Amino acid sequence: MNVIKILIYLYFFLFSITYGQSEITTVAVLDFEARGINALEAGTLTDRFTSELNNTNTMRLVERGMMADILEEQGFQQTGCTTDECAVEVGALLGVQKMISGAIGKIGSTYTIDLKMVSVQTGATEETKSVTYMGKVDGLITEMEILAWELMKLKPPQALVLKKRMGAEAYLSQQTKQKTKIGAMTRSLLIPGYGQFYSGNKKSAFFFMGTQVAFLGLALNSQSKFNSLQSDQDAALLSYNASVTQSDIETYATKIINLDSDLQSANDQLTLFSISAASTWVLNILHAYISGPDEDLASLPVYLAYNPVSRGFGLTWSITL
Amino acid sequence: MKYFFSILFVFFFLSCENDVTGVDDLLDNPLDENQVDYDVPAFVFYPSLFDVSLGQSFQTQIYAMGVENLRGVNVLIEYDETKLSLQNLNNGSLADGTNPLFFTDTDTPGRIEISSVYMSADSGSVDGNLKIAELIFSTISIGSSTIDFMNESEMLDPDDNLIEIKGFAQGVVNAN
Repeated sequence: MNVIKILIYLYFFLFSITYGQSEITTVAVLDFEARGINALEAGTLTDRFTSELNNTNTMRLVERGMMADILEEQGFQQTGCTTDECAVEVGALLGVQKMISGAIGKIGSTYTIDLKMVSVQTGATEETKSVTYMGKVDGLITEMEILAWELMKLKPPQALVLKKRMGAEAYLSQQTKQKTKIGAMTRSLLIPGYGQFYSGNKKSAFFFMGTQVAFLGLALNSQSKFNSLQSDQDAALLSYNASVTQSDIETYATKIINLDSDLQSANDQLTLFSISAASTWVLNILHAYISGPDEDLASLPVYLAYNPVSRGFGLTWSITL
Repeated sequence: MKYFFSILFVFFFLSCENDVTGVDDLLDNPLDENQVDYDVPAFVFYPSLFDVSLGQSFQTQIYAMGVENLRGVNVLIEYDETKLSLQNLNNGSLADGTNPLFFTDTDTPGRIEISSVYMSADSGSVDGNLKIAELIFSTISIGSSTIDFMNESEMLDPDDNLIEIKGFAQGVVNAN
């Protein structure tokens, strides 16, 4: 027991030396007081808040387990420590600069969260945050994560804001749908540039969409010109066939020959633009695959599998249709 | 559904080319001297090709094509009477006026004889492409048959001299 005690003090001593002299603030978080929710839920929410606080990288956090050990060694009961004075006292025992305490309450179906950051040195309240939340208790997790950033006067990450907006369940469901190269390729197969959008490559997406639209527009224009010429030629052909004098026949025959030349030209243009559009489309599919999202090897549809028939291992490839 | 649209997309590109009929196939007026394979002056059926249903009638016109100094014609035509039936025969534009010199003989089955003379106070002859008569046939059995000018047909100038006929076009009838 003495060895443990020495080790704890040694850790505490080293912790103080290491971080005490730096500009980074040391912070400890007291278990949030549960008012209307059970202690287990309050403990879980405190854990999540502490974890997220650590993610802000703005302070050095005393691990909660370690904090409990130290307080226990000092004969201090954390339970019931809800006042600022108590928080300051605990902070002093831990040797931290700031203490965070709070309470999570429930009235009807509305939850309230009140957090407070107290300076151990002055005993003054430096920051307070309050949030009112309506909904399932699960949603409190996101609220706690956002509060961790806001308490440190930081802007919460976009992912957290999105998680709050979408709801945790929908957000997590979306996160599990990993983007794949095949997914990008399939989308580009459907609409040129769609796969690049899916991969987040907007410049390429606009390039392929724009090029495709341009070629299709030119092809349609050529087709329209072709149709117009075809219509003129049909009319000239009717007149030619109805003509019985040589002069009329020659006039309409010349017209038909000239229109035929224009028709060939319009058809060549149509073919050129169509092939260009098709080539761009194929390139867009290849590009979508090559520049598609990087995948974990585990998520690739290729498996090394034992084949009981051939009694050997082989690569199996599959694609979901 | 994605794959359905993709397949449609592929077909769209594959179909983006039009069939352009060649001019030689389009220009098939039997009176076009630059396209026909016979010399002028010639006797010509206009039109010359018929695809008709059984029992259906069709009309063709007889032209003296590319003539110069023409006064009159005597046209002899033969056809397969087991496949075609002559329904009507009308005067063309060569012999016009109130009392046109236009005579026909259709008594012999499968054979038609037409005589037509140009009469005008202004001139004694005519040039160019001239409509001699209109024939209306109907098909009486399925199959292909021809309508032909006989070599005994004649073109005459105002002095009653024969004009050399260099070509005889053929009419082709396909009854389905």
